[in-house]
Amino acid sequence: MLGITSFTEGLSLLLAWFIIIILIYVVYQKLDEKPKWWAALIIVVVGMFSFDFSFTFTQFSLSIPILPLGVWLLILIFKWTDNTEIWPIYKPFAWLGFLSLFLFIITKLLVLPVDHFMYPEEELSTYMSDVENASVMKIHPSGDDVSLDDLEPKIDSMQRDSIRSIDWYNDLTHNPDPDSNEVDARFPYLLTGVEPKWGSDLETMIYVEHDGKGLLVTSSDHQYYFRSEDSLLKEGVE
Amino acid sequence: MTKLTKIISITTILLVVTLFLIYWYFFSEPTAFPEDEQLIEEMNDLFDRANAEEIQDTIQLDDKHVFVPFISSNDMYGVSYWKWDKRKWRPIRISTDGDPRVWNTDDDVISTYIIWNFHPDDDVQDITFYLIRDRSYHVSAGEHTYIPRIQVEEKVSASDETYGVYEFSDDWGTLASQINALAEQKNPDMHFGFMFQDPKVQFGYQPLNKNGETVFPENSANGAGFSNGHVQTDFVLFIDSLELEE
Repeated sequence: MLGITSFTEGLSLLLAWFIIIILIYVVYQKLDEKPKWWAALIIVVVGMFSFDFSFTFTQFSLSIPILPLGVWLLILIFKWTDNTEIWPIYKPFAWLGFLSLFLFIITKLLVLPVDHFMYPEEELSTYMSDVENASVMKIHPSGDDVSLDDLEPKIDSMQRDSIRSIDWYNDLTHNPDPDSNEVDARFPYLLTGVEPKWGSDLETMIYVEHDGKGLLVTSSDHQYYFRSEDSLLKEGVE
Repeated sequence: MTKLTKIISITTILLVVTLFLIYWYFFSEPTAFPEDEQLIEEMNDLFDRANAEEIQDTIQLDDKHVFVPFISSNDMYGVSYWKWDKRKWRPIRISTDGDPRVWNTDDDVISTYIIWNFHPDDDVQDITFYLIRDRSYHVSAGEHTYIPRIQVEEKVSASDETYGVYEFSDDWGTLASQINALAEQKNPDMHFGFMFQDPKVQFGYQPLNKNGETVFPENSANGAGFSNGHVQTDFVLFIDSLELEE
């Protein structure tokens, strides 16, 4: 699971606010004695002020409202200003504000499956959607001076392969010559300037293999390895 | 005026006045940087072990941050970091050891500088700075993860003056931003108080003398330090050639 992307986050907020507006409208219509509509809106927003219990599991964070601080504050303000008699007409809106906080949680859970369709985790195009400004940076002395060679058309044909992390690690660290510091790093380059799919907000580091044919995509909770038939690199710095 | 409008207007006025005061106090434009004598006085007042005697230079890093290398009366080559904060230029870090250290002046990693002031006896002609993260792997629930080694270097000349500033190159900035963005997405609630949110990433340096040899800068590595308020710095470790890969 990717956590929640900014696209679905936005979608869930829109959905929640849409329902809240409808609820405000319904409550407003039902009342016999109506407050000013803008005052009702302010009361709703103040009612949303609460003491939360927040928790995060694998980047998906929820905050559960516990204490209706906003509602209490409003009760106090109405008392201090000797307006207790008009409180009953504002009261439903204050509580609507507090209860709507639960709506934000529900819509967030509802839109979650959208992520999996919009941003499939196992596809390279999720991580590399816009490569117009892409370039390659040498991050290990064993790398050569290289630049990207027509990257875009090769992305779609790249195939997933397994990450043999233990072998890769051992190949490099079991140095046969103890006097030499020479190491042929497996991924001596880093791709920069690559944009993930719009709205995903995914942060990644994409390493390029020494033969130029492999990409190791590291996101915050997964790693994927893709191989290409042809090299993505050519000699010489652009 | 109804009571409700009265409440709202009073609250609004109070809010605007408070915001203005906060802005005036915290976001005022810097005045001219103080004279050398005043800098010395202020440093010695705050931190008597600075023993500051001579200001070597004042190097403006951006409009609110200045690096001031100094020499102390007991022949130490020190560094001080000055920041325009709350309507005053304040020394936020003073130290009599001048071996290189990272100063991150802003939350953005692009605004990062490595600052040094070596004692002349250490004979530092050139410095190579390194940004290193070692390789590692882990397997959990059958899922493999391989973290490649990062080892990049920048060579800087240090022969003109005892002190100097290296401002992050575009490459280093890009690399550091990517590392931090990924680490922050991984642990959004975690902050290490260092520049890098990934504790495996380290800065290193190798000084080179006029014969091109690396010798530990003994006269610059020991001293006393003082921090005043929040200053984001990070160590730059002396690196032995054995720890480097080729």
